Amino acid sequence: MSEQQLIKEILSGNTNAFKILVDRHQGRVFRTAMGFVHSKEDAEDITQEVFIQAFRSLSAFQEKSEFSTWLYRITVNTSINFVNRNKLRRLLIDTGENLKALLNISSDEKNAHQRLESNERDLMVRNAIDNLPEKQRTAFVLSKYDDLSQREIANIMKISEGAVEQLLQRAKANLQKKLSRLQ
Amino acid sequence: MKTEDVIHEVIEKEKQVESNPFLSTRIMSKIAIENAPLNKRIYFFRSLVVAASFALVIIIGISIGKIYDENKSEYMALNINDSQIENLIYYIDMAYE
Repeated sequence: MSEQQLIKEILSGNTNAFKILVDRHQGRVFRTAMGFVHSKEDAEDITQEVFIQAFRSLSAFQEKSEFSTWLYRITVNTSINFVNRNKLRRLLIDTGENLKALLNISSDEKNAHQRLESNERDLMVRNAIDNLPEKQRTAFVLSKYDDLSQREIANIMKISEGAVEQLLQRAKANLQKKLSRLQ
Repeated sequence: MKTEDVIHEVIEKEKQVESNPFLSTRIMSKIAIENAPLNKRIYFFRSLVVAASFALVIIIGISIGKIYDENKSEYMALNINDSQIENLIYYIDMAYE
């Protein structure tokens, strides 16, 4: 069944047809959310919020763009709002995870040290991605986490392909600069 | 290890994370709850009942207050005998009888 048919079914009152849409797009929405929050539980909460919002505003979907493009827009906006709302909580969780990693050092010191280093490196990369300017971050997440083409990203962000290319280059340069310590 | 490889490695690790297999069921149950017309009606009536209860409590409170006010005695009762605690009103009432 095509997405247009599914949407018509849902709008005519067949709520179960929405499950097919959820099953089709859940993976992408979850991956995009992961790119913004780096936590399974938070990404699942965002995925749920995205689909509920999509269901509520499905009648406003004008089919000018693809359903997936529209859904990606909702995902990006919901994720950015979620991150802005939970900045302090995120900071506390990161600190907690670091402490937990420190306290879990086993007798095998070499392995423990390696694990600690790996955790610290992962955290640095995540922080560097999180600290990118909003547009660069959105383009980067859509490109790296969802493997979308520049054209698709341009459609989602409603900008030109050239602008997307520029955003991705700047994001890359920013990340290189922030993570130069890792080399 | 080059910075790009490190970033790639971290991203790939995150991409391997799978969502809960029951996530779609969770989403659909939330939607079903939100969409149920019966629930909407119940929610409407629940707020109506709460508002009506508040109004009823206020009206009863005012009525009780008024009953007390209407039955107020014209005579003032004075306790002057502390050891016996007798109301002087009894003596006054007797004088009227």
